[in-house]
Amino acid sequence: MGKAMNRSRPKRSKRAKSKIKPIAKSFNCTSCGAVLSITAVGKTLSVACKSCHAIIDVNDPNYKILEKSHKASASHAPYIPIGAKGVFSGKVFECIGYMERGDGPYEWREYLLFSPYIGYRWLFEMDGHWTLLKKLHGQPDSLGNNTATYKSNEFKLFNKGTAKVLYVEGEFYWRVKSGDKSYVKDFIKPPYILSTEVIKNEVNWTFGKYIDAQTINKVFKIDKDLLYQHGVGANQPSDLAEKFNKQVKIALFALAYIFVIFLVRSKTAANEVIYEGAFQHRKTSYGSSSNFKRNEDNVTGIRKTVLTDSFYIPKKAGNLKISTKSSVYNSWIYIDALLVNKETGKGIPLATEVSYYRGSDWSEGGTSKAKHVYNVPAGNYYLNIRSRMPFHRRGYKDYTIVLRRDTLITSNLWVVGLLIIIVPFLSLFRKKSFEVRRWSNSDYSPYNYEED
Amino acid sequence: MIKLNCPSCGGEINFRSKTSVFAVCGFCLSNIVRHDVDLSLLGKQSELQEDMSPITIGSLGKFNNVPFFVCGRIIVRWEDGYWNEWYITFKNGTDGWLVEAQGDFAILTAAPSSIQIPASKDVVVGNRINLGSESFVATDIKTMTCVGSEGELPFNGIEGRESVSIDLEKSDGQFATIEYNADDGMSCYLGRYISLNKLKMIGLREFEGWGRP
Repeated sequence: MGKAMNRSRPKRSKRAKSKIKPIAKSFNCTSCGAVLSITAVGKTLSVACKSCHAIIDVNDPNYKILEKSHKASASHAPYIPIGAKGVFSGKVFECIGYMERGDGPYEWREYLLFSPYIGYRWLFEMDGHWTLLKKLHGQPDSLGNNTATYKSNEFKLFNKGTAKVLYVEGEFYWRVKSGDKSYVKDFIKPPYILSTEVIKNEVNWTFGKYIDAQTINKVFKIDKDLLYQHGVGANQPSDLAEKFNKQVKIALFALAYIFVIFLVRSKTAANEVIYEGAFQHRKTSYGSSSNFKRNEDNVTGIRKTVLTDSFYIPKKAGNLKISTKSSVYNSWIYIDALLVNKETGKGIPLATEVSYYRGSDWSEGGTSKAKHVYNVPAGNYYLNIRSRMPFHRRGYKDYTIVLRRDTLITSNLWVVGLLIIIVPFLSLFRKKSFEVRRWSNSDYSPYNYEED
Repeated sequence: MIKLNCPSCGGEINFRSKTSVFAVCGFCLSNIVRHDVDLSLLGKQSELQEDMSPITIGSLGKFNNVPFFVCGRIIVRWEDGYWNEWYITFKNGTDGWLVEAQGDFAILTAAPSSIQIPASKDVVVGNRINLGSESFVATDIKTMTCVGSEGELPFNGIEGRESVSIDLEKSDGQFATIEYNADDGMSCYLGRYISLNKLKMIGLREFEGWGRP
C-alpha cells in the first residue's frame, strides 16, 4: 500500500480503530409491544416477532405490520436459537432468522446466518441431516433434463416441488410472509447440493455441502441431543464408494499376489512320487470282498486287507497327496487306506471313494479321486488297504494308488481367491443399498426404486 | 489530491480523486460541489444511519493487484431495501465502485467507451445482453434513490437523486450494472462478485462480538 495513501487517510477512518459495539437496532413490536432487535442493520427488511408472530417491516418509519400473526404453536422451537453465534471457516456468523417450510408431507427447517464480513449463509435441516448453503451468482453452466452442470461437475436432479413457508422467526433481508410459495429444484452430487428457487421472475441458485450434525452442536455450542437422523440425507456423503474402490484395488493386488505365488509354486513344487501301487478288488461268491496286490505271485491267501511295501516319507515332505483311480462305471469303489508309521504304529486315515455314474445326457463323479494330508511326520510307512464295492457287483475291479509329496494344490487357490473377492462384493452391496435408501426419497431414482 | 476548505464551516476537505466533483463535509455534513478548485454548497445531508457494513471511508484493499482506497459512499434505497455503493480510487489513478448488497460484495469499474450500452427500454429481465465480447443475463431492473452519502463522489450524491439501475450477471461471477440518470446520462460498469477476503481489505470496521474482520 502506498505511503501517501496511508498518510492522508481521512479523519473519519478513526472509527475503524476502536471496536464498535454492535449497532443493534431495537424497537417495540407494533403488534404486541415486545422488544424487537435487529442485527443486520441496513440489510434486514422484515422481522418476525417471537412473541406474537407478527411480521414487521423494519424500514417503514412506522414499523408497518406486514402480517398480523401467522398460525404458530409452541412446538416451533428452532434447534439453533436466534442470536446464537458460531464460527464457520474462521468467521463469526449469527443465526438471525428461522423458517419452516414444507412441500406436502415433507417439511424442513432453514436458518439464516449472517456475518458482516461474509454476508449470508443458510443452514438447511431435514430429517436430522444438515447442509450449509450459500448463494450462487448467476446460474450453473448448463441445465439438462434431469441434470445441472456446475464447475464441470454433473449434479443429478433429486427433487422438485413447491416450497411453502409454514413458520418464521427472526429477521430476513426480504419481506417474508407465511404461505409464501416458491418453485424449488434440488440437484445432488454428494456431499454437494445445488438448489434453485423461483419466486415470481426471480431465479436464485444456492450451493451447499452436507455438514455433520455434531459439527452444528460444536459450532453453536448447543447442548442438546442431536436430532434423530431419519434415513439417508439427499446429499449425505458416504465413504462406501471410496471403501469399495479401495477394496477392489486391494483384492486385485491380492489376487495378483497369490497368482504369482501359485506360479512360483507350480515351478518349485517337488511333486515327487513316494509310493505307487496297483491293486485288485475281488468279490467272492461268499459275499465278502478281498484285495490283492496285482502281479503278486502268491495270490492264494484271501486277505481282507492288503499291506504294502514300506516307503520313506522325508522330513519337511510338504503336503501328501493320495490319488486313487479305478475305472468304475455306474458304480463306486471305496478305498479305505490307512497310512501307518512303521516305528510308532500310528495310522493316518486316507479313505477315498471313486464313483462314476452316467446317463444319456448326464454324468456324475469320475474315475479318480485325490485327497491331501498335511504335517505327516518323517519316517517309514506302509499302507493298510481295504476296499469295498456295491454288494450286487461280482468279479474284479482294478485300482491304483499313488502317493505324492509336495504337490501343487489348486483348490486352495480357489478358496483364497473367493475369500479375497467376498469383501469387495459385500462392500458393493452395502454401497448400492445406501444409494437405494438415499434415492428412496426421490422421484428420480436411478435404481427404479418403487414402494409397494 | 486536492485539499480545500468547506465553504460552510471551513473544515478541511480532501479530493483524492481527480474525477470527484462532489463531497460531503465530514464536519458539518454540507454537500459541496467542486468546479476545479471552486466549491459551492448544495444543501446539507441528514446524519447517516449506522449500519452493519464492515467498510468505511479509509478502508484499503487490492483488486487485480492494484491497491485501492475507499473515499466515498452513496446509500441507495429501492422498493425492497437498501444497498451501499462505495466509491474507490485505485493507485493507478482510475476509479470504481465497491458495491455491497444483501451481504454480497462486487467490484465495478467503468466499461470501456467502445462498449455499446443498450437503452433502458430494450432491457428485459431474463434476456441476454451483450456488453463488448461478453454475454450477460439481465437479472434485475430497479429504480434507486440516493438516501445519503459521505466522502467524495464523481457525481452529485444528494439525497433524492434517482436513477434506474440494471444488474447483469454471468454464470462465472462476472457482474455488470448499467445506470440511467437524468442528469448524468447512462453509464456502464463491469466487474465481478468478490469476497472481502479476496480483496485483502484492511481498515475494516470491527464489531464487538464478531471476531476479527
